Amino acid sequence: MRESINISLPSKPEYVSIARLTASFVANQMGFDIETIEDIKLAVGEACNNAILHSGSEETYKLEFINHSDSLIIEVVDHGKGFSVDNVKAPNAEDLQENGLGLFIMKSLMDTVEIESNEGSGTKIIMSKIVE
Amino acid sequence: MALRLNTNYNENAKSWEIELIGEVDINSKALLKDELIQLNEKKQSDFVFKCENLEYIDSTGLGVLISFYKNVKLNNKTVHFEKLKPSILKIFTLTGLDRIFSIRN
Repeated sequence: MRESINISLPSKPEYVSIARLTASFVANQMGFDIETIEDIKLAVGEACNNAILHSGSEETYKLEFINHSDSLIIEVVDHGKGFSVDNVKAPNAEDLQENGLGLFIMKSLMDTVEIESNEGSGTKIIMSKIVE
Repeated sequence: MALRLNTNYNENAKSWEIELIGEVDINSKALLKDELIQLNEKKQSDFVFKCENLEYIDSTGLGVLISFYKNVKLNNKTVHFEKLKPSILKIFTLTGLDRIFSIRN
């Protein structure tokens, strides 16, 4: 079985909660436990933040939630300016920075996270979580 | 759900108490940041964040807290967090913030 839900949102902070609510709803329907639903919600929020921070406010970005047998696959695609994935480091408690935490959080909470980003052509984040 | 803040200066403890209610995210972080800067200008002291009703915080919200913490530390003051929900505590631990902030649960 493979079913998907697609939404397109303006690249503006005030709409991110729609993506998070959708994530919670889909994860709940698929039978994830409460703790995992919170994790998925945060990972989706971070992916949306990333899309917004790297694209202009006149643009939109797309989310796709795919229910594929026992896993939830989430794709977040923007057409912003992209960024260099290699520059992202794990946070260091001695020297905490405001930036770079989002990707780290996504990678920590999801089972898999793939990021395709090219400067100038936007970013695609694909992440997945298996229902235990 | 948006973010609501209740702030109060506790004369006995000589600290600002800030109750965070709702969500600190990319949409509400500016509200939090502006309020914290204002309070710190009004009176430099320790800060206590009451997090019983904090439902969600993301990296942008944590970013505000990190840079604010750096400012407060310059004045030799501290930042405490009280009653974090398990889902929020998990994020503090994951990002190593539990080692720099004082957390009283």
